[in-house]
Amino acid sequence: MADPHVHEDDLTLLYYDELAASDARTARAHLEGCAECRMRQTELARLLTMVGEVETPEPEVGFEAAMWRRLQPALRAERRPLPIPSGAGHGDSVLARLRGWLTAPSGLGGRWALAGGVAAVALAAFVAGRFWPAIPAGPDGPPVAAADTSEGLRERVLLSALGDHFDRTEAMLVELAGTAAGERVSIAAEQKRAGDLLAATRLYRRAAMDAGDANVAEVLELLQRILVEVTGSPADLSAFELQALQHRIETQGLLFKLRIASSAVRNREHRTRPSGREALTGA
Amino acid sequence: MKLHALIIGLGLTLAAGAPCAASSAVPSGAGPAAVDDGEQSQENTLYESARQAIDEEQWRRAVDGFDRVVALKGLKADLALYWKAYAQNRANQRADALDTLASLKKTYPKSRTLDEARALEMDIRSAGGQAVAPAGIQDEDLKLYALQALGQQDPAQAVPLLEKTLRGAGSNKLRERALFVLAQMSDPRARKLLSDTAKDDAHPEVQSKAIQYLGVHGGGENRALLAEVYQSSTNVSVKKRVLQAWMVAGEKDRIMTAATGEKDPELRASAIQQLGVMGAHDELARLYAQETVKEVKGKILQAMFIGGRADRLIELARSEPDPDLRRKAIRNLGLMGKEKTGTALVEIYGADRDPAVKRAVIEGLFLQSHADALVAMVRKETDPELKRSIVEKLSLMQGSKVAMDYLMELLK
Repeated sequence: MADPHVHEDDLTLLYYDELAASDARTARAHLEGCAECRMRQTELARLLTMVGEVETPEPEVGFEAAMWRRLQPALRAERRPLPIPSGAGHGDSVLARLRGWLTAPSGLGGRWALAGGVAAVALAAFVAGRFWPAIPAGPDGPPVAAADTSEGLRERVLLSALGDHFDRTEAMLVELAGTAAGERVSIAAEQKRAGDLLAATRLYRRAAMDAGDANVAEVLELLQRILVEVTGSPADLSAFELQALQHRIETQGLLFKLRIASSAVRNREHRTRPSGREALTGA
Repeated sequence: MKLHALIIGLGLTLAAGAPCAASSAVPSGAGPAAVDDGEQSQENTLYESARQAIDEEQWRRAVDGFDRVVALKGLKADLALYWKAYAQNRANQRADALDTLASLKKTYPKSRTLDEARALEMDIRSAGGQAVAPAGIQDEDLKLYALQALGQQDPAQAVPLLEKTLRGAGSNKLRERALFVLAQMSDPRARKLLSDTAKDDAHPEVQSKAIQYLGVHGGGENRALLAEVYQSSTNVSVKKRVLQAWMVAGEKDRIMTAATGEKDPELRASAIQQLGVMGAHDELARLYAQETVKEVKGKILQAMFIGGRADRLIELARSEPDPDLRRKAIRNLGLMGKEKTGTALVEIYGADRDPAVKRAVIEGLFLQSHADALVAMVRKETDPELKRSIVEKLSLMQGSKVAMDYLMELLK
């Protein structure tokens, strides 16, 4: 028999009012009659409220970069099976596994584990679109086009270009990160691709900044930095230089961020499609 | 609130077992291990330290660090000058940043970082209210960068320059970037140029990009133009791009026409896939019912999976007379997650008599990590072959306590 409870991912989307209307109705109907799910909902809401609390104020300089840097190894560890407290969640959702952090007997103080869990929930929220604001779904959850204004058009064009761009950049960085160190290593091929990617990144970042899309602009700036490094380096790298480059890709969590960003922009792109409505041009 | 941030940062560090915030050049044991000789080694070490300050957004530390690299006049002096200007700009020392960039251009006129330096200079000047005239810029990419800002304010000047780039001798990548700038403009001249590029088959890659943006724009006129391109083009890639653009524009009927009437099997498959992406559930069900070619039916099942419609797939997994297609439907159900389809798979296992179909169910439940269902099934199963097949799958589910408990029970 299928699990009758509301999935954790749906509870998260419900919290942010991003669950499709029909699913939201079903979930709410279930919550009315299920004390266990209401308890989980309350606990989740408490965690997500904390995420909201830490997200709102102005962070310390460099806090976000530091958070990402620290989150990456944590998430790598998260990919390994984690002990999930019995009854902690339903299914093996990201949230259910992350919840394991809250009570995992890792020898850490409870509040540190809690803090890790909260930040991990922040990631789930990030993925869910909390930090990549999207156009809300319509009454029954179908995609809704971005407003038919020049701003809406620019947003759609940018999102349409970014998905592929992030994928291509990720492919180039994966290749670079996986290059075996020798006495001298030629990265001429990667540099050529990085040159094209840099020119595009610069344009997209400008477009994101003009559109006031700070989150996208921030990711693009990180990419720009590493691409400047790749294109500006000598074509033949010493072992030290190659490893320094690889170390930077690793510590900045660039590949991870790219995957998240790629997924997030595709989600947004999907939700802002014209979808048959008469859009700005050619109507 | 800052306390919360601190707690999270510290908590993550501890939870992840990561080192504390590094301020040294390269964290010991985690960074580059190889060391060059002499001056280059010193340059590399200083450079990495300063570069790390950039990543940590410690702008003053970065400026000081890159000053030391520049003073060595080594292989990275030009790159160091660029990063110094970058850090100065971020620290709101714009005049100093412009001086540093001037020094870079003068001292290292062949530096690989010059394009980026010029772009940075443009940013700094435009932030200070200085207009940049794209027409006077020689480098095509930098011109596009300037046009990105100008396009919204002065399309009359921007469109002819973009047209020149599109028709020029530059690379296709450059033309694609020009299209990006163009596609953001809602000016009629820009729309006309975008439409013309979508019809121009001289560079199929560029044509495809223009088609993509027309789909993003949407609107009746653009959809009609896309239909015209679909009819006239003989290039399968271009036609596929039109199908994709129709999908983005929500043009279900035209895609349905291609899915039913298109003679090229590749395009027909592509149209079916786009229907799946659009979640055109009723259309796919209609197509499946009227289709006679097994291979195409398989594509429709795949599209139903892409569309995420479990109920249709469950229905077909139960009722489809062809066992191959039934298995394909079951395989797709297995990929949909146990909450949605686990129960149905278990029921199909109980009802279907074809061992190959039963094996497909086992595979599907394995893909869902549905150990509960597999253990329940193996307890009831009397066919030794199927029983072995289930046990094999359970033995691979090492992360599942349910699976491991059952295997321990068997061993006892």
